[in-house]
Amino acid sequence: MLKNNWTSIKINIMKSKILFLLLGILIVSCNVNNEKTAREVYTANRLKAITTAYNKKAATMEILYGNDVALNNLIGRPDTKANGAIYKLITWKQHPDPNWHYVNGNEEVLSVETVTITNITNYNVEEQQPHAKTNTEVNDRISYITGLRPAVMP
Amino acid sequence: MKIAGSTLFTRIVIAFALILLLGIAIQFFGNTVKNPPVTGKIAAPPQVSQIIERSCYACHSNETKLQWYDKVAPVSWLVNSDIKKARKAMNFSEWDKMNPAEQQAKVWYMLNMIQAKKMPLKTYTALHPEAVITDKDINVLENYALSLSATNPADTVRENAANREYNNWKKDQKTTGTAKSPNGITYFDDWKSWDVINTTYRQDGNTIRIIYGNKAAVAAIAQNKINPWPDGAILAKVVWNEVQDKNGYARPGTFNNVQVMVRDANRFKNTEGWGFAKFLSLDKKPYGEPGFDNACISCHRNLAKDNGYVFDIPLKINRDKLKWYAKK
Repeated sequence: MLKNNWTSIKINIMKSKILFLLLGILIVSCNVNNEKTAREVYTANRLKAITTAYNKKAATMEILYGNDVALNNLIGRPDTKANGAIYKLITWKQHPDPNWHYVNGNEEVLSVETVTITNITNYNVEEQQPHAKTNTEVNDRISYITGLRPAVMP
Repeated sequence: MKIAGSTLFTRIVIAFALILLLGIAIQFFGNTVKNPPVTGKIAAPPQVSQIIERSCYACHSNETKLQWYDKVAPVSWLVNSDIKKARKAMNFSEWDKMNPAEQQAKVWYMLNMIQAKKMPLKTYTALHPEAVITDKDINVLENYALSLSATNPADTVRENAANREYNNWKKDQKTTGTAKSPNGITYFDDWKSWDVINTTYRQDGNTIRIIYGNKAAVAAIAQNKINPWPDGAILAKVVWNEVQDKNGYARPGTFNNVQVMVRDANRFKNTEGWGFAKFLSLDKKPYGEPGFDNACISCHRNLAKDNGYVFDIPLKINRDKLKWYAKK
């Protein structure tokens, strides 16, 4: 009887070891899963946010960044001595905030458009879903980006 | 035996009498629920008032209707403390004590608490099934909330005001004001050199916002170390009233306010370690009376606890979608 008891205790210990092992695997795999997701923050490297716009139909958000030369150009008081305006328009996909209904927040970057103006104007685009642009489209984007009105900053 | 039996009986009687006396005595201690006067109740359409009266009034009003057992101590003590807390958070009988903007914010808060299934309390609806709020009720409340914040963003008055403010500002881009919030936070504009952590569009109130984070805040977001956030993390949210252009874009119009959250677990321990401040319009007038931050944290505590009491952080995405543009 006693021996049998010991065997059953041993089996029980083994069972619980297996259980703990399974539990351990579960915890580890959960952690791995968690690390598969993260939050994106765009680093603008010294460029400042100039304005933003929410496209209601597409549920996308744009943020225009630029250097001082770009800001002065946009305000309509270009610094004639300064050269080298940099504009960057980041377009984000938005998603309803899970914590507060009726607010949309940023989810992932869809495109990064850069316009630089020195002696020549250059346009560069990086898109999550790339598609070739005609010259007209490129020119339209340049005039859109370099024509945005800055937001009044406190 | 007989004597002993009668002693036991006497003892039981005495014990009961003592319990009864104690029961009566405690009725004189502690406060039972009182109904202070109704100063001005929420003026909502009947179909809205009906829902609020049915599901919220028992605790969130000065017209509390109690069962007899709710009035007997010690139950009355619990009920009293619950109702006190509830009235402090939202009191539909003293609605006139808030300005229209605050009233509107409270309605949206109520709606979000209901949609998050945090209100009415499950312990309450278990005993009062008639207080359950159905999806149909939510629609009614939602339409009411939307009607309150229905400013037409394409409105020319809004647009003209935005144009005026912009033309004035662009002359030198300077604004004034360095006032102090009641909790000691002074306005700062360090955020102008910080990274943008999120941009949000808010349908309730028609505002568009840029949210900045200092280095500590950005690092905490990247490492997902936001429960709790590290001391020194600071967030600043810049809010504009929306103007809508003909292509359906919401763009920043007149400047509305800057809101900050400063992380210092010790200094702001009454508000979960966050110091709140809000500075209104271009002269950055500090918002609120002392204690204003209780209203801030009560909402953040109830609805944003998972994010370390912060609402406006970007949403989580799969890692393979992170910084794809920087990898090219």
